[in-house]
Order: sequence, then C-alpha cells, then structure tokens
Amino acid sequence: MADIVLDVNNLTVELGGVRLLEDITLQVERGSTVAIIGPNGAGKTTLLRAALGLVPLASGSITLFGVPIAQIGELRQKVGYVPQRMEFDRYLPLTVQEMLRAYVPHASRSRIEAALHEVGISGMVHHPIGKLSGGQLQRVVIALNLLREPEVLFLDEPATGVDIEGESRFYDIIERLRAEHNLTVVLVSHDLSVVTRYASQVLCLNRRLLCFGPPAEALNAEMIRLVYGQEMTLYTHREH
Amino acid sequence: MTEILQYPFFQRALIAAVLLGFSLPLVGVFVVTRRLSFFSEAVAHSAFAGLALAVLLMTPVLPTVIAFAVLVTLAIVLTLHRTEIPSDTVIGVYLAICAGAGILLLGILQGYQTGLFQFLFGDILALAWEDVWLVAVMCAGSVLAIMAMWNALLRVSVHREMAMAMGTSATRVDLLFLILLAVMVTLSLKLIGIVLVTAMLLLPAAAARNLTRSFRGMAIAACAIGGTSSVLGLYASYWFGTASGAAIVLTAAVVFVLSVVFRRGG
Repeated sequence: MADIVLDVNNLTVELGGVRLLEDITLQVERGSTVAIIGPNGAGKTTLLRAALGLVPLASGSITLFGVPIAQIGELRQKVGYVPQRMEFDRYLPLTVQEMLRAYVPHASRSRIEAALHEVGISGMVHHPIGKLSGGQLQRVVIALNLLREPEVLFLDEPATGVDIEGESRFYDIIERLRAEHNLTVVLVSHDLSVVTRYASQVLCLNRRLLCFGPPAEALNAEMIRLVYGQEMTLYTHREH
Repeated sequence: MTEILQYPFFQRALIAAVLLGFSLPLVGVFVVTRRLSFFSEAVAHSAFAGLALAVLLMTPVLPTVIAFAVLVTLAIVLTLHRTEIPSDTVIGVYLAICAGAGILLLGILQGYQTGLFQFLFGDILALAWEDVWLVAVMCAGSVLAIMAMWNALLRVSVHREMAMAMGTSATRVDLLFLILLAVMVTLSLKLIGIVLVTAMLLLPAAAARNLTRSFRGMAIAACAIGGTSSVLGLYASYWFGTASGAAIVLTAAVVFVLSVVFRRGG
C-alpha cells in the first residue's frame, strides 16, 4: 500500500466570495515530486498555501501525514517551505547564520556549514543576506529547510527571478536532496521543461483539477492547450 | 562632573536614563525592523484618551492608561486581521479616534490640563525612587521578553508566511510584541515624556542599523548608543541648563546623523 504524505479530498477554497479552487482531489506519495502547473490565476499558489494550512477551506479536507492540516501541530517540524519571493527588507543587517538560527535555533555552526556546503554556497556563514543574489538567497532558504530535516518540501515557483543556468542548478540541487533525503517535493512551476525533467507527477490546474499523473501521460498536446491556451504545444528534443 | 552625582534627584535620573537608554532601543530594534514607528506614536497618543477616561471614571491613572493602550492595540490588531486595509491607515484611524476622544473629554474636564502635561511630557529629573524601581522592573521585563521572543520575532520579520508554514504563530508573536510595546510606551510616558519615549525607541536603533552588518550587532550597538546618549544628554542638560529629555534626544540625534554620514558601504 502506498505511503500517502498529502491527501486532498474535494477541496474548495473561497476568498472574499471568489472561488479560487473547486473540488480538488489528489494524493501525494512519499518520495515523489509533484509539479503543479496552470495559467496565472489558476489557483496554484492557493493550493500550495491550503496544503500548508495558510488559507481557510470552504469545503473538503486536507491531511498531511494522516493528520487534518488544522491539527497538525508539532508535525509542522516535518514541513519545509520555499516561498516564491523572499520579499523582505534587503538592507536589514542580518547574516546568513543569523537567519538560519532564527528558524533552527539549536543548529550548530558545523551543521550550518554542512547545509550551506550541500547547496553549493560554502563559506557564506557570515555573509549579509542583503548582499546575496536571488539564486544564492534561494539556496540559503533550501539550506534552512535542510537544517529542519523536513519530510515534505513545498516550493512556490522557487526560481522566479533566477537566470536560466541558476534555475537549472537550483532544481538539480532539489532533485539530489530529494533522492538523498527521501523528501517528498510539491512544487509550483510555470516551466514545462522543469516539470518534464524533475516531476514524477504533474497536476494541471485551472481552478479545477484538469489532469494528474506522470508527465509523459498527463501532459498531452490537448491538455497543454487546455491549460495554457491554443498556441502552446509541447516539443521534445534530444539533450545536446 | 562628579559633584552633581551627590544629588539624589540626579542619581535617580541617571539610573533611569541608563536603564531606559539600554532597554527601549532593544525593543526599538524590532520597531524599526518591523516598521512600527507609527504604531508607537499612535499608542503614545492613545494616552490622551486613556488619561481622560481615568479622570472620568475616577480610576488610578497609570493602570487605566496602560489598559486603554492595550485595548487600542487589540483593536488595531483585530481590525488588521478582519480587513484588507493597509496597516498605516488602520493605525492612523485609531490615532485620530484616540486623539479626538482625548481632546473632547479633556475639554469637558476643565482644569486637568496641568495633569495632562505632567503625564505626557514627564520629567526624568523629577523621578522618585519608586519610579526608578518601576523603570528597573519594566526594563528587566522588556529585555527578558525580547530575549524570549527573539527568534520568533526575527522569523516573522524575515518572512511571515514561511514562519507560519514552519509552525510559528505569527498573530500571537505580533500580539505579544505590540502589547509589550504598548506597555513600554505608556509606562515610560509619565516618567520621561512622549518625545523621549519615541526618540529612544527609534533613534539608537536607526543609527545602529546604519553602522552594523549583523542583527546581533545592530541590537548591541542600539543599546550602547541609547545608554551612552542618555548619560551624555543628561550631563549636557546639567552643563547647559537645558531640559534633560530634549538633551538626551538631541544627543541620540547627533549619533544618528553621524551614522548617516559614516554608514557602512553598499
């Protein structure tokens, strides 16, 4: 029997009288990478936020590790989250170590250095976060999540604002960490190349669930047109 | 320089100035980081209405003013929670309501203006030993509270939603900090006055932010600047025969201006 980490049943979310998600049902197995795709306003971020317990549910249910999301309590220690943008005061005098210790107060210096090494930014312990590039900052957030040793990691378009090379390197790191730490990864992405390359399951969303399954099966031309519009077509090509 | 130290009134003022100069900037570090300076002003001005209420209800002034400030804080947090109105607008609305209600009530209560001015503009040289003890307890409490909330406050300051996703109750952290701030501001009003309270909250922390590269460094520098400015300002007021609160504020302001000139690069 499959080990289900996230179980969403008939989920409907409404905010300010507007229905953002309608009747969503899905299950995420341990160790899988699920990519949520859809056009702007499809409810991708809302679904992620609902799964994190950050928005009220109009109807339906969400369980994480078998526990209703509203009662998850201490199990939140097993949850990691990489937000879309780190929108904070970049001129705040705050070092990488201080930021990591705020979230993981008892992390030793050696653990912090190991986590930074693992995401490829060794030697930045005392670096002010305001001086980091967007890609470096996202890696710090990944290191932060690693220190917490989560079992499920939610990422909301984590490579927004990062260049193509940086984005590819970022997802390579996530995939390596998933494999090494047996993480379950749920990520929102616009980028179909990311989805086909890294996801074991893809979830197509446009307020309602349009598809859910392995990318090779779920992402047919008709579905892509349905999700992204008439002009979009998926081309596959050999690696250079 | 030491002869003035023989006078008990100056001893009391010096102890209170050092204690407040150390602890208010520590709270101020998070006021500056979380952009709550306007909130501090609003709470300070809520003392108008709190004071009038105390006179009308014939209740003890200080507890009534503090209770009223906490009530205003809760109302602000509740309004922010229930509406989509920007926080500065909500705070401005409550500031206007409190100021309006206070002025109206105090207008009805003719003859209490002197008490109002004493309460709102304080005088650090007029402190009794009981006041110094109150300052000591208040400062110790605020330092302990800030140390206990340090990581949670930092988490909510860096990324509120990420903190919530990882198990921090951001609303509870906000509420506890704002209540602490409200109590600190209103307790300090009678002792050192409205101008000195907001100045000690903001100036050392703002100067420290310009000069440091780490958050711990910012906190230590803010406390050092606050404590030093308080002592130097108090002595300056003695030498030049000026108002003590204003001298402390202006000393801290000089440090702030210097921090702007010599701020850490890029």
